[in-house]
Amino acid sequence: MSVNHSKNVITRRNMLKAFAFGSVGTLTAACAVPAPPSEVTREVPREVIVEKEVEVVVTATPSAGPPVEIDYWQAPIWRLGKDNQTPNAPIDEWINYSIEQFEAANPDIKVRLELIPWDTWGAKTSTAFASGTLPNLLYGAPQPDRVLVGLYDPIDEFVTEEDKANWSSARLAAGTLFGRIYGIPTFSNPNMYAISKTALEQYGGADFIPTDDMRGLTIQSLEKIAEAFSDGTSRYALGVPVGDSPTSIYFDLAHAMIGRGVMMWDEGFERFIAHENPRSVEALQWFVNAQKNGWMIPNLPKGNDVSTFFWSQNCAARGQWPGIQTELETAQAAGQAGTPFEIMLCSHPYDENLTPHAAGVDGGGAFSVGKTNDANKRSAAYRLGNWYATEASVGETWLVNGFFPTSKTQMKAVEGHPLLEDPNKRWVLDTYLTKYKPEPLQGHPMFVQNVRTVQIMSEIKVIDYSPSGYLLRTFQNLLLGQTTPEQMMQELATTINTALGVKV
Amino acid sequence: MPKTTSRLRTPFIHQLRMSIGGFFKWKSLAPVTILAYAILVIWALLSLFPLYWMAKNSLEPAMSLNQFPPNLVPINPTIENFMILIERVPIGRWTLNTLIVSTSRTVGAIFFGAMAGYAFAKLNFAGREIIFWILMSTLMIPSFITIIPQYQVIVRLGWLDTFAALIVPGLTGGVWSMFLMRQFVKTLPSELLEAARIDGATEFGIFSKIILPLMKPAIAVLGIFTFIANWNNFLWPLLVTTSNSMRLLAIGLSLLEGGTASAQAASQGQVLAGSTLAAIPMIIIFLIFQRYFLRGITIGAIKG
Amino acid sequence: MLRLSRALCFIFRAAVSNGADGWQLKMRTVGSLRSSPFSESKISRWTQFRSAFRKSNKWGYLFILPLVADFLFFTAYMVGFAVWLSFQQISAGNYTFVGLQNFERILRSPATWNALRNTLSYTSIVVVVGLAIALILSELIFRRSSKVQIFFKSAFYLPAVVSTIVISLVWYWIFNPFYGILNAAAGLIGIPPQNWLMNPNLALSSIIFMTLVSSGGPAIILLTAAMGGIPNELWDAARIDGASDWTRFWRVTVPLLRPTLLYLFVVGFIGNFQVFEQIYILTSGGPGFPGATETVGFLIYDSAFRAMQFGQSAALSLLLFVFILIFSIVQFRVFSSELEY
Repeated sequence: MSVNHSKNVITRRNMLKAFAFGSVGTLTAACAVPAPPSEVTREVPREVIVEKEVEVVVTATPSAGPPVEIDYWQAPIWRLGKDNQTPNAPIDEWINYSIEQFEAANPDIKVRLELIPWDTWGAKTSTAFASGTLPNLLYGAPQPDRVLVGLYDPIDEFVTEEDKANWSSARLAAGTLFGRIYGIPTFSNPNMYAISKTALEQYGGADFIPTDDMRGLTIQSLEKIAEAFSDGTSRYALGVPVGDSPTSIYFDLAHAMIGRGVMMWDEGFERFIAHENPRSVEALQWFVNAQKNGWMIPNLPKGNDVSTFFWSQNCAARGQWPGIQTELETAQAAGQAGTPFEIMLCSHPYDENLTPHAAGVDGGGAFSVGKTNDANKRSAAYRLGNWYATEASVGETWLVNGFFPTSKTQMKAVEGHPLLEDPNKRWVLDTYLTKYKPEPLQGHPMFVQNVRTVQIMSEIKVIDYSPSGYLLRTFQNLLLGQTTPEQMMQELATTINTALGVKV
Repeated sequence: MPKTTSRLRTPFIHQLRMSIGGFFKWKSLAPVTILAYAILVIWALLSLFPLYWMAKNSLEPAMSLNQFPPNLVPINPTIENFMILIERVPIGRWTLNTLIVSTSRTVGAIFFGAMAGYAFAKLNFAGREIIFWILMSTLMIPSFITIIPQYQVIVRLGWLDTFAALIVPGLTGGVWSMFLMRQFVKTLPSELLEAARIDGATEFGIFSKIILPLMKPAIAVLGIFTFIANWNNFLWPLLVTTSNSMRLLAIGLSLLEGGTASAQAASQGQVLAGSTLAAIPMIIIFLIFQRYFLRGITIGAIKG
Repeated sequence: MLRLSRALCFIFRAAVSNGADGWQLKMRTVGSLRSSPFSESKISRWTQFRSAFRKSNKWGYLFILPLVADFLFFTAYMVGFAVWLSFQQISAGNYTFVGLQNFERILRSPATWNALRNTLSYTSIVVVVGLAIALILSELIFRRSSKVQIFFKSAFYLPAVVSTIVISLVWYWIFNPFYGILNAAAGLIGIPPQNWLMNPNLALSSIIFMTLVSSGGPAIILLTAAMGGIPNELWDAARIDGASDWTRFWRVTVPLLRPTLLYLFVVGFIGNFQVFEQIYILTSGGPGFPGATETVGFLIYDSAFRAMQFGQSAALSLLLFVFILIFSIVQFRVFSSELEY
């Protein structure tokens, strides 16, 4: 081994030689990598299937054999105990109790619950999606791109006419993708606008709050509120968390469009059409103007910042879920928000010549059935999900935990509940969820009902829930003055339609 | 100061200045020295200020943190941020996890690195130089290229969210540890080994009883730096830990910041309280082993 | 597997036999061998190796085994896997071979070039300016008494001991446009409140500033140690020749520090090129599209773990690797000097 005459000197040549050797070695290693097999065979919907007649379902009869075991993944969303009253109960108390009750009523099913905390939820479900195996029943509405890859099982065969009549038709529509039903509408967590009445009463603008039963907040009223409340230096009426919150896309941007009657997609969801409607540019321009007038919290605030402003009465209005009431209580306990602090829930702003819409039809509160080859498990999972959706006693649980029931049986069961004395809750249940028309599916950027479009959109990642997502970042560009509304709409249309291969 | 001026014909003023600037090693102009100190002090302040700010804000009540302009010193210091933080997140568990991971990886790096370094330095075996240079050449492979496949493998092994995923990849300390150890071992006299071999000691015995004890300074240096690097390691643990009970300190803190639902995010005071708790152990280690930091990393980087 | 090992053996022999033949690695097919002054025939070289092997201390292999195993699995195999991944498209557990599509997509996407641009700006400023600052500070520190030296060196080193995450978290709040102290300080000197992290013109510079302020330490330690290695006679000689302090610094100290500066430059460049943690904490890639602070490292993370495009991410990381490789090779050729180890 004396070929290298001086072992201790690194010459360039030795270095490069060794490096080349190393690269060749690793490349040969690359050939040795086996392709990992995929396990579950999946049926992928290749074309839009016309909705067919649903046959009368054969309810699973309790069999003599051992109970069917199903896996159920749930995130902890219940704050109160199993009596629906004790606060700060262990997070698994109610869910375990409910499973006991379900198993008692359905002795042929055994439920293996996995309660996954929120901090793990995202990663665990993403990993499951990425590897293609889901539990039998999964908390969360089915997303079009995942339906497409065949991660879920359709449940049409189990849905009876009775179920259809019981469920909210809007939520049922939200769970129907490509002509088949994938989502069981279990509860409702709609999104809407939240106004700080206390702030407006203190600093001005309270006169323009909607006072009728419908509580429809028009764009024109919102402008008057903003004018009266904002002072341009420390008080800003509108909190739009453009800094990091992708929900601002939906709470603010998408609903600004829908509120002006702009549709994102054409009827077949084959083409992006928002740019052809001049009101889309108007919607974007409205935000630019709002910023210029000092109506919006400047400097691209993050979600945290908007909350801070809202709790300290320096911001009066923001898009939110009904859960904002819970957040308020937390903030008050932490000394960030004062008392009294009265929040009023109302619709997303809409043009006064149009009718308001209820938002969040696709939002949380649906259960989906994971793909499985075992028909018994599929049926059992459906029964479990439907139990949460329709069992009368569960209705109260949704209400006390900050959500709302959506099936008629459950809504009836909660009539007269003391919590419904809260005018906000009463409004959501009686008016928002029942009397408002739901947001049109064509108006929602993500709620695409076309197989091919979903496939392509999920590849180009133009619209997604992420601080580094294209749409949120482009919205930031708009507010930073780096692009104009016309340009933004044009670019969006070009990107999407070119990828789809249709006329821009 | 030595009067080496005999060979110099210096002007009178210069000699005057020499005596004024008496205790400086080289004859500087006093204003320049003042300027030098000024620059040093300013930069030191800039360097240390963020740490002070972090500690100070962690002691401020939530309301004061929402004021503008902020106070430079806490007016009503309180430990409520720490209390709330400890209630909300399992920071003790995070610290324990980080401790376990850092310690095991440090021990691994020391042991396996010393072994390999010794072998490359003192043992003769065919292919030694080739293998060494192959390993060295991989130093320029950026970690990003291995992160993604490593993640996929870990998921497939089912190691996601376990200590195995945190500790095993790169447990041997990698080429860097081996290199450091090798440099050090080369400076040890080979006669010791010859003598031991003649006396009939086993190779492993030579390694553990003779070499390792002699390597204490290098082990100390490697140990400290490896420990700190692992304590502060971020990207890999971020990817492979998903549950709160398995997270490491840095990752847990980063997740406190942000989150789209405002209820999930912690306030400034709490996040900085957590950061302070994360920083203190490292600062303590630094102060205790100060001389190793100020001298230690020179081993291996420069000749001599 | 046997074929693989035989191929490797021949490559190995090719590398061993090169000697004075220049630095191109010659790939040889099985069975053919170019003659060179140092080789007689194929048989004797193999025998040469076998005899060297017989004389080897086998314990050597055992001692290096864990490290080599770690290397083979967690480095070599992983790189190979990454190469393989970059030709796949992955969705819901399915791997589909798509050839060069990922590379095409990346090279065509504006996000990639933007990230490259950002990363180059960030890295070159941080490394060059950072080294200059470290050099100046080292020079200023070096002549002082040891107590003073220890104090300042510790002050500069301390931020490096604390994790980048912690530093970034603090600076996040320092930069906060509503409550941060930077805007308060700026107000004192008449600058209107800025949005340091959400203004695309300022965001990257703010992060660069933060890095410069908190990462001088290790470089200063190395430089002062290297300065200690310069014999005093050289300085005295320069002084005797009438050189001013500045000239002495520039013409004596700096050239002698060249190896250290080179090392710091290369290591600093490679390290900073992969910047991730600051971006992740402070801006998530920065305001606007394409992100004003999106770096290659963050883009790799984002495309893999947010956009779930593992194939594209692997391809991008390969490009990063190639870039760093080219840079290192250029480094070695341009600043060529034989470094003794």
